Amino acid sequence: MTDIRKKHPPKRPPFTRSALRFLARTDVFFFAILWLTVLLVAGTLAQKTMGLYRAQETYFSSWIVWAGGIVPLPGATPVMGLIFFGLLAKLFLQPWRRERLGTIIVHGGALFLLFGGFLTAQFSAEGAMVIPEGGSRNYIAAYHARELAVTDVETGAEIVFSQRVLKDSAPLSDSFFPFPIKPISYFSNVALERREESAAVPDDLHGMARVFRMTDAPREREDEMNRAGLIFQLDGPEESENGRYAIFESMPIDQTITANGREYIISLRKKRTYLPFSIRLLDFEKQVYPGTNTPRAYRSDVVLAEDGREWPARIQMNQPLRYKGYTFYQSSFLQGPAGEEVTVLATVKNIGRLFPYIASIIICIGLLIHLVQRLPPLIGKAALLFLLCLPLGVPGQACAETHDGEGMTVLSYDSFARIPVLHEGRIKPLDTFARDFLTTFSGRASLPDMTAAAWMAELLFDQKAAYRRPVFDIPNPDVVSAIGLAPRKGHHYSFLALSQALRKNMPMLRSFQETPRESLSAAQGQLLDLYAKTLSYFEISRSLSLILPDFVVGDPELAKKLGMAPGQALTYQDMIAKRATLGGLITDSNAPGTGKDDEVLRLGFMLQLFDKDRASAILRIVPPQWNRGGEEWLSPWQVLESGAGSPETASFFETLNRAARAYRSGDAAAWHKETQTAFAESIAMAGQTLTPLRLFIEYHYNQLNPFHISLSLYGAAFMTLLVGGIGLRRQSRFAALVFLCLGALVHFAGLAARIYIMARPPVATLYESVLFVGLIGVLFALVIEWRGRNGLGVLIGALIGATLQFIGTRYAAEGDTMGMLVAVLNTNFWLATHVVTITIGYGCCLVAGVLAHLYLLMRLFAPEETDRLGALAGNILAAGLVALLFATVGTILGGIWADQSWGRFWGWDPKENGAMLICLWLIFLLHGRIAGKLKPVPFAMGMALTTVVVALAWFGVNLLGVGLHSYGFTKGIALNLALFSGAEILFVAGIGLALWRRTAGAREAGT
Amino acid sequence: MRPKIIAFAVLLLLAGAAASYDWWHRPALTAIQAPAQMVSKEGPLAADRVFTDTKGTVVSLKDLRGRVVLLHFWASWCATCLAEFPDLLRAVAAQGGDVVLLAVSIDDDPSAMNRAIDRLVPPESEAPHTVWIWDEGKDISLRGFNVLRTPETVVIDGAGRLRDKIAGPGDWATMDFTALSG
Repeated sequence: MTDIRKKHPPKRPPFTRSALRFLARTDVFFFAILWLTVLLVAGTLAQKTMGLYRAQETYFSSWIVWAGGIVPLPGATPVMGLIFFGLLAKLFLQPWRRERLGTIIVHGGALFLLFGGFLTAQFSAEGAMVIPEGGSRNYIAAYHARELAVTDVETGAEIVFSQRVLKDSAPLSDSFFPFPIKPISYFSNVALERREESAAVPDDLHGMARVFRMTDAPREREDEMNRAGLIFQLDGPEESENGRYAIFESMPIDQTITANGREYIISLRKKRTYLPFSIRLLDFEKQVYPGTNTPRAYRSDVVLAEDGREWPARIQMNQPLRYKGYTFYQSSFLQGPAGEEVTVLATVKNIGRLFPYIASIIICIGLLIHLVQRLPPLIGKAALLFLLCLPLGVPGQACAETHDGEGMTVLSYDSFARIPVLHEGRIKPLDTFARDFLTTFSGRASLPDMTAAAWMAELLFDQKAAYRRPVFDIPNPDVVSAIGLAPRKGHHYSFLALSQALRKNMPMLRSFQETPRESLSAAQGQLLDLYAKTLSYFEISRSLSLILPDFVVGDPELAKKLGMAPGQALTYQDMIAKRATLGGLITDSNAPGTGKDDEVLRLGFMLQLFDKDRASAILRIVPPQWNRGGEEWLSPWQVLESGAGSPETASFFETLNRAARAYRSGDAAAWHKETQTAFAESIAMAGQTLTPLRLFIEYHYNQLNPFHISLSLYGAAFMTLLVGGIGLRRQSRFAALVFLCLGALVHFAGLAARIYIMARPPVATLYESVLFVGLIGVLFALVIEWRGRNGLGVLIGALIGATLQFIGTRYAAEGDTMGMLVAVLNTNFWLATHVVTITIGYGCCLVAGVLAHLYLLMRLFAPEETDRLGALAGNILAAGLVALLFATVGTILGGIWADQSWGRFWGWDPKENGAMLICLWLIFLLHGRIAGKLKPVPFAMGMALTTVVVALAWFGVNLLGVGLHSYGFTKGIALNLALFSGAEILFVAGIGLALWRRTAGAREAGT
Repeated sequence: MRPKIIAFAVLLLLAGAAASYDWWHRPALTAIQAPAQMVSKEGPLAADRVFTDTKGTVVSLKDLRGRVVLLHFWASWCATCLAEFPDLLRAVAAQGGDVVLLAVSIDDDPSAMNRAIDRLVPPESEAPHTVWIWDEGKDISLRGFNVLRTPETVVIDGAGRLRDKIAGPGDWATMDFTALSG
């Protein structure tokens, strides 16, 4: 036998074939994905300290990552290469069978994506074109690379040397200029220290080197903030010009050298790429939401010039200009030194641009096919269709309005609360305005004994009572004691008490105001916030002071002189006409002491106090006047100050004046009539600038508070299940299902109302995403219940719904939940596609996670129920696949949005990395399960931890405070997140350990 | 091999479709559009008001239909008002009766107003088509039009519609009244 072997050795496959087989192994892919996940987490965390660019260079664009500075580990580039070639090998080596069609297409799409990434990394050029208004540019400046340029002043010709050669000390020379330049020191970020005037300066120093001493400064976290510097030696034909020079980026004065009768400029600058055409900026416009500084849109009107031809074009957010392979995106803007506006256009030339688009289509098709192939035994095709139709369902609502104002004894705030007001860039009912401010002041949207609208009416019409009402919530006892307030039960204090206490502590407050915020303690910061709140409170309370009947004269003689009846209450408007008469009386008056003169002085003093209310600008309750269009609503005082008054505003103010009198006298019928008139007048003035139905729906949305109702219903569903026992009693299961469905219905109606009110998809803020993910989780759980009919879906739905709605109420307590969106987010198309898809992915992940929890619990406490365990495992796999579909497509759509807005598909921004982390984690688990590397229990443990991964990607990355997704920044959740993650890890690890010990015990008993 | 060929064909087709879609939808070189015109130049009909001038003559807005009315709020202590008045008076005179100026003074003291009028229009000259009104009690300015600051001018067209309000001084020398007369 041995001889035969020697004569006919087994035919070994050629090296390439065995290498391909190795690459195609699923376990290689499995570990590669795991390592990529580790790198992604490490690189994202590192951004906190080293900034986005350097973290990207170190972890994601690198071949080798040096762990601890000594151990070489593979970087993301070789790992992604390994994955690419692995997928390629698998595609060619494995037989293509119909049942694997979905997987093959997904892998093909992933190959496309990776190849596109390679092309982009190798061949794309990007930079910024910075153009002042009226100026013209024909080059883009790189973000990171620098160069040394020598420019002939007369001809404009130039020669450049790359940053790399500046770090060597070899002399730089060229026939273009007659003086060799020898770099001495190159600084990535330079610190400039002015030389003392008295100090002797060596003779061989020239230019800026005589003014500044250059030293190395620590690198900035954001690479774009670094200022490069260079010291060089010049040895040219002109003896007087030879010596050492210092130049740095953006030098205010050019460094010129004269040699052989020609003048040259030597400059250090961002690397330039010249274009075959130029762009001139005609006009830059920044639009803000009315009444705010929040940008709504940026726009550059430019003229593109090439070979004597010119085209006008417009570049704005989410609408770039593409020309000759270059794409120009509206990126940001600056204020020039002379106050002129300067536009910043991000410019990209990328031959791999289309790959992500194609890849996303392929991956989406592949995942869908895969799901359809796998789902019938798991959840069902109908469920998939249902989920896919979700983003499309945006219903409209129409409601009728009814009123009954007769015979009232208590003041009704119905009409008053619906008067429109412009606040934070949006027209909203006064009710929302009142709720937002009351939440800011007291931490709640209503007071124990009155609604927000009633409180606002009191604040506007009856300050005496309002100032005594304990409204300000000061939970920190340190703040209370710091300003000498007597502690109160319930931590609520009146404006009167608070303002008196603050006034006594003005020197302390001023010293805090002059201190940088980060140096203040928490209590000191809160005290400053409190001070700002009291100022807003006071300003709002004075909004209508010009029409309040506050001026009363008791003395008949004085009243006669002023042309009014004794005891008659006049307004500031009325008193303006009597000002001159009153002025004369003050001049003639005797020293204070006699009653009459006191009254004269009091009136004069009051007028002066009311004069100060002219700055009151928060309550913008008057729509634009005089057909001027525009969106700028004004406060009553602003109307007078800006000359916008009209007969309509005059009538509106008269109505408010009558309402104030009715409020003060407690005349309910008159109050109702006047507030109704005020509402009608306001709507008539606003004309087409507002939709009354929107106001109506928002008002009722506030009144009903749908998310509180759905939270209660989800809670009721959960409790019913607990009382009845899961799956034990049909009746309790049915009752819980009814509660859950009702909860979902109210939840859905609430979201639909928000869509209508804000006219945009309900996923633009963290708060909204919590609401949306909650609904997705509940709906997905209902599908599981529909298939299984065993109470499992109801339990999951109630758990997810109640938990997320509860988190939502915490966010709602922070104030306005319907803020306007900054320019880049202000696009319905991408909000509706990317954000909705990715949040559906979050919801599905949560369902999969909860299912995995239940699986682990059952495995521990009811291992004999093998059938149910099997079904549960199938559900986990299916939920994981659906989650992967939405997370992947959502992440790629996010990349495409970024490509449309900023010209780059992927920027390794923490939020992007978070989304990718979810995808990688799911890919890792699913492939591990398929490859057999993960047995059912570890797989379920991994899926259970998906909740932690989602929480980190959703909320955790915001804690890093870097990157472009600044809309999601939030504070105060670090502790909750850490507690949640810790508890989850403990839970999963605990169950894993218990199961392992049981298996080990059984094995020992067997042996 | 057949499925692989089909797959590649589908891929190529997709790539082609994406590329052509991208080509057709390239956001290239759209011309700048002129800014949107102001919304309707129509205004609400001015309520009929009756004014009594400094000599006791009664003027009503209804009687002035067919002529452009400038309801101009001013004060003797307002330097801007006094500075622009000569231009305003000239512009009104130049329209030869098509434009009437109702100059409403918000002075507290009528004698101060009269002194200012005497300075603006010396006794030997006259200001044609101009009606001088004292707004005693601020009924016209504050209660009628919410005017607190001067100068402010309400423009009422020939059809008696409130067309515009000029807050601050107006560019009277170049103002075109022809579009308002109808």
